[in-house]
Amino acid sequence: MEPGARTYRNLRRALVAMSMLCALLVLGIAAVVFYWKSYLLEPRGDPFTRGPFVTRLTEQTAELRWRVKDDVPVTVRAVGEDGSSADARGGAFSGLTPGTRYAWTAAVDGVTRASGSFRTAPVTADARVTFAVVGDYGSGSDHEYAVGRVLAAQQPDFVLTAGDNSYLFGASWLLDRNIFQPFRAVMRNAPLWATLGDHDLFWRGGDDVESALDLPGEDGRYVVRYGPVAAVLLGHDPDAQEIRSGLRELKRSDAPYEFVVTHRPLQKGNPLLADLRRAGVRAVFSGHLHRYERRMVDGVLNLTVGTSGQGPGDLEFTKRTAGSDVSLLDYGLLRVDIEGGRVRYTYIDERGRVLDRLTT
Amino acid sequence: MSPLRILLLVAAAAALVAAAVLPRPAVFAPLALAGLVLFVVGAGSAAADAFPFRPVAFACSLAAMPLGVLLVVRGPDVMPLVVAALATASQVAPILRR
Repeated sequence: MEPGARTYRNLRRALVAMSMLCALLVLGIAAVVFYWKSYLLEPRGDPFTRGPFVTRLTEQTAELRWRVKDDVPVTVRAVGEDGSSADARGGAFSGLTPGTRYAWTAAVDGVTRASGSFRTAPVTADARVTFAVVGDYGSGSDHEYAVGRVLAAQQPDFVLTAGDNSYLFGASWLLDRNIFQPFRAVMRNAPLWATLGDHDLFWRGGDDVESALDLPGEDGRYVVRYGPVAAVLLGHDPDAQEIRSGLRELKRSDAPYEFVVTHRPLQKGNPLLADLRRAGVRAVFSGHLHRYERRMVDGVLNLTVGTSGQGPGDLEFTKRTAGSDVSLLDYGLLRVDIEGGRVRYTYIDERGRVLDRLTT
Repeated sequence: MSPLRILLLVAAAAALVAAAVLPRPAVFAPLALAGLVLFVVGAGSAAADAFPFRPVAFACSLAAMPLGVLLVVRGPDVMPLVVAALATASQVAPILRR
């Protein structure tokens, strides 16, 4: 064979081999891409940038809010434990059955991307109600996340906050970090009814927090009703007029279990405590002091829950209040159970331990 | 007839027999194997038919590649049989044309 022909034949063989190698390479790449897409690639991310979270809850209605990427349409449906179903319009459910737990789902592009549940308020006065109280929590810290997990595990019907929902101030760009992410789990299942503390009010008078949480009143002052429970939230440091106005609202609610929430704890000698006692208020919840304290002040049970996330800081400014029956620095939340005419208060720390218990 | 063409013909014929005889899912493995052979050997055979350029043989070799992929990706019940038949025919055509 001539040298030229041999070279041509060898080159041709090399070309054939190269072509087959390339084909093998293409197959290998296709196999890797297929495996990666089928088994390694995670599903598309959560389209919700906030929520959905429950904001309003009555006997027959519930409302959810959310923020979603690109404002894509969201379909929200709920199925009740009684088998009934409901479609939300703009996140609002109506015509629900009282005292019933509804499991809701929120779908984007036909795929359920979020779910949760809520229990509509019962109509009977003797129905069991569980709620939780947190305060001074909005720090975005590990402690707040821990309290948030313990809080979600309690499955409260609603949550009251005693203010300072966001540190150092309640600006809109801090709220996902300080409220919506740490408390995401519980907020899918229960409304967070917040009053405002000094840190919230410092920024735009608390407007950002009010708007984000869709609070039913200004400056964290309003009355909420859930079945046999009514709570008046009075803001940072209510004066006599504000407290009396709140008590009038409570009277109108005619609820058998009445509570007051203020950011600053009421102190002994405050003449308004007598008004609260006469009004039959079961307890006053507050924060501001970064301790958990249980005190009887002028015949009114005062529970300070300023321990839900921010931490005690310098102990020189976090002193035990004189006359307190219990005073703790442990991070935690207060669980309140109402059933059969009794109210049980349980302070649970961030590790799930019960540190204080009282039944009245 | 080149060894590559023989390999392609064997793979295509095996796929045709498997598609005609075997039920699902037993048929998937031989079809996938035949598909891979058609794809890889088809690439080599196309290169061989390019120098010197033989249009019919080149086209038939090239056709083996997408047909091989179609055998791997399966599809409806009837598809493997049709694809395997096409693959066999495309490898017989250059032989008959000689």
